[in-house]
Amino acid sequence: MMTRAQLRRFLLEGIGLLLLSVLVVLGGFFLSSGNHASRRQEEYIARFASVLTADRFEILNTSVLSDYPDINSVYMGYDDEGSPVGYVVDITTIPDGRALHMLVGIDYENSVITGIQYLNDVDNPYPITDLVIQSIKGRLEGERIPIAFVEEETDTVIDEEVIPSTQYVDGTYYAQEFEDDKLGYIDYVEIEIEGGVITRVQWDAFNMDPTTENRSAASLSGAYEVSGLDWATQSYNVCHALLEWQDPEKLAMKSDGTTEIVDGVTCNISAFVQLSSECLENARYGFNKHNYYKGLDEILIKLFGSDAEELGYLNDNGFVVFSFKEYPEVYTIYGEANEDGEAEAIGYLNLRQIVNGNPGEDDDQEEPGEATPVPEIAPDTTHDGSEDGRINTGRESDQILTDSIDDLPMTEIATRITPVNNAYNETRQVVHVCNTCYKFLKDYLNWLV
Amino acid sequence: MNDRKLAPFIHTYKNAPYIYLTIIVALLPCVFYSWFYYGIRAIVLTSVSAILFSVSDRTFSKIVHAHNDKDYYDISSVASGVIFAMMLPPDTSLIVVVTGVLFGSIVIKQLFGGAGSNLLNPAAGARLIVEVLYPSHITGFAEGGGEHWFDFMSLVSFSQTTGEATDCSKLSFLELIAGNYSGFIGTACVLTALLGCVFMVIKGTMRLYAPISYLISLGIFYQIFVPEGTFVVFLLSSGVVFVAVFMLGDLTTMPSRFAAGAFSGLVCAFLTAVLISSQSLVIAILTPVLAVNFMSFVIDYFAKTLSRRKHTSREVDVL
Repeated sequence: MMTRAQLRRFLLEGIGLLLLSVLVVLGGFFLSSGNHASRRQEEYIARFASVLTADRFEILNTSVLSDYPDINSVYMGYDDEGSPVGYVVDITTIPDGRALHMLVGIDYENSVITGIQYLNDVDNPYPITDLVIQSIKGRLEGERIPIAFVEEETDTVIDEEVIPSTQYVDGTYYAQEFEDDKLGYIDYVEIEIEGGVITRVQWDAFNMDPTTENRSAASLSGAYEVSGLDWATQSYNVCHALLEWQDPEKLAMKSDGTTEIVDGVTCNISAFVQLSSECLENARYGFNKHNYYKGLDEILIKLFGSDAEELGYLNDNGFVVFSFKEYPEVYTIYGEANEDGEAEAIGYLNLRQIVNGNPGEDDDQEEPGEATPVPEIAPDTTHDGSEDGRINTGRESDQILTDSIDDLPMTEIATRITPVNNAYNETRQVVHVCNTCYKFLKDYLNWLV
Repeated sequence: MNDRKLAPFIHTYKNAPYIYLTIIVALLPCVFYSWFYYGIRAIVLTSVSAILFSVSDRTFSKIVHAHNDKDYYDISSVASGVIFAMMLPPDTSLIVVVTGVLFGSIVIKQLFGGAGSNLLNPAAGARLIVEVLYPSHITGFAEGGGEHWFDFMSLVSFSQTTGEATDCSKLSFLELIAGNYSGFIGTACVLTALLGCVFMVIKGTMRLYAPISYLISLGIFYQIFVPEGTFVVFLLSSGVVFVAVFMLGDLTTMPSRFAAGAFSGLVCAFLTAVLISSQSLVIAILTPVLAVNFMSFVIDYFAKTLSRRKHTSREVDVL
């Protein structure tokens, strides 16, 4: 056992040790803090170089951050005179259970995005290809926050009642034009159906000339021009409209092939309407993309004795690049021949009808496939005479227009962009990230918007 | 248990409470560093860990009737709690602390007989289990320093990574030795661990065989197994000095003889060097410590002379 004197001595030694450690820790901290600060600034400057140029960064320490759990940290950049130049927001959102980690640079004066960096440094990262992120950056950098799409998707969950009564078999369906257009493009539409609902739509066109890029790519590079927005964006918009409305007829195509009810779409959509209708009809019979290609092969074998691959009609992307312009008899129904022996075309067959036979001729030839059950709603055949807007009487949910995005009123939106082609969700997530930064800065600076 | 008394031939005041009191005092420099650098978070982590370890030990021993009021007050729990806390990142949730403490106290310590009877180091076991159970929640290497002194949300948020561990290869020697970077709250500053070591050596409550053997061997094996690394940076930033002082110098779980201690240090260093490239830092450093703890009785046995191998008791001849 320790005596009282030993205990007293022990305590004194302990206090001595503590004082010595205070000296060592404080001395070490202050002696090394100069190195520490300059090294940290070098790290910040290097790390944030792609999103904001500044001479010095300071981390923001504010209680407002606790309201934004997605934001990891926020840094303020200063120039060499000490004036603030902008913010860098380090943010991680979790869309679809996967982490999207980004750095967003925002200008101090006018809340313009100075840079965006996608960081692939987390477990289970949200997948965005370099090409897509570059395209998204191209659309967002230099723009003011907050941001919305030119035609923002409504936050309203698709009501079961808006699902058409048609029963579709789940799968991927495909249809392409039999003939190429005057520029050599063959339109095609691909539709994916899950749970009886259209979940993905793609409309594009490949060219008879293998050296010519697809129409959407050509429109983005400027090689293919249409009036209004670029064709790729118009294609996206009309695909998105079909996703939302689930019925090509609701696109209200006019006799000249245009529509006025899909914002930003001024091009001729007749090929899209025809091909998407064909896809959906195929979907009723379970005639999927694989069957379609097999059907194409069967026709080519009948005509030439070989399939597409053997004939060299398959391009690098797997499309059958062949125009039936010279073989209209394949898909045309002719009436009775006149006196001159010439018959008039009275109708056209789609590929499934060619392969399986025209149901109009013999209804027993085809049986619909086993469809995913969906709520049976009587089709709304009521028309109000207007084709200039989407009006569905009696369906209040259809008439809800988007009035907010990311909990921001649309009136507050400073910039509207079009999503990157075939990367709607990715663009949407990045826009969400930018809008979260905006909301934080608004709270932090107590902006009066 | 009720008749436990000091043996009549022991004439030293260096009994168990004294030894553990010395260790606690030796930990003060590390504790001060963590409190100064990380503020509220470190204060709460250290206090909760130490108090909870004591409460858990005492409660469990009462439940199983292993405790008697005549027994000395077991302050080894406080030492274990503090050592465990010192090896946590600053942004660690209290859930992690509770998990580690309960495992270290009940499973590692009490189930093996309580104070002085445990085979493994409770703090090492506790730290290892939380590393395995919460790999993504024990990486909160947020910045320390004045502006973060009052941060405390990480204690209750159970969030994942809040900051990256500093790339120590870019640090200056002064920063490394002073611990002026984001690391584990009490192990980053080598100077404080060395101060504690000097104190324990002066007070005669630490055997240096294993720690010295460990650090020297690690220097050699590190060059062999991690040729691309810089050993000085590793030595100053990884916490191995802290582990050497407060775990490999432990009287309960490490062999008592010179040869056995030196051999244990060598084995521990070898395993650490082998694991360092493939495992996380904590696993690479602490798994070998537990492995050596397991082997210490065997190593000690073979280190005895043939005539003394009949004696089953372990000696506590300090230095």
